[in-house]
Amino acid sequence: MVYRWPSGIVSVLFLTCGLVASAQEEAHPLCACKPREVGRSGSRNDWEGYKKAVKWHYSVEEAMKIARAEGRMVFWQQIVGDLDKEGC
Amino acid sequence: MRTVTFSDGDVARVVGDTCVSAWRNKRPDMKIPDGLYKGLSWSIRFSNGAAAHNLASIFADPDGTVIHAVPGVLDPAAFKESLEFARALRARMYEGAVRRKDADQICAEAHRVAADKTEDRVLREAHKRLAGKALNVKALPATLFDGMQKVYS
Repeated sequence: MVYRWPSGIVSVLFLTCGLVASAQEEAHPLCACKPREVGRSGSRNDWEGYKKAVKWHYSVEEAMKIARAEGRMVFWQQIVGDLDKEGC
Repeated sequence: MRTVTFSDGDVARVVGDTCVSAWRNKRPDMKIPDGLYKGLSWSIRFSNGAAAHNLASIFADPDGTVIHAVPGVLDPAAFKESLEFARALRARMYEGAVRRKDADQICAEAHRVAADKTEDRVLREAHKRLAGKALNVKALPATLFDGMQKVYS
């Protein structure tokens, strides 16, 4: 005998799966990054690395003043969070 | 980008050689605790263009002219490509430190051409927006790329 799932139960299961999946796609409440934006993991976490690598200034105006004197461009990174901290 | 792109020695060298760098929190009212990712032993690598509503890399001349701006995460290769685009465009817009009279037209045309060439949807949209109007750092709206996440998604 072949047991057939009642179509109502199947629909409910699909709906539940959909809701669970969409909940997992929700943005992180703090950084608004969706899990599916994550590509791959591959390198050791190195929070100290960026602090040593690029010299950051706290204000664009200050950076512009230095850039003007040295004839360089200004690179300005707009972020959400604090670059000195390990937030987003 | 911090633990991947800005920790990359080559990126740091090129940025240091060609730019003076600054950062700004575009949503200072949003409270993000320090150590959000503490204990995470592996870096999370995002795809290029992700978090387009949160992140933007902006390249400008010291006179305030925005030369290039890219929303979202950029891996080292994409970042260096954007930086090189900005450097080359700046060299065309300025003769030494003097801004050419047609600098705005040169900038707009370069972005139009780049928008047509690139296959990256986020980058294409960014180029289109930059081709439309000359921007200055002082008047640059923090919301310039808000809504770009829809393009990425």
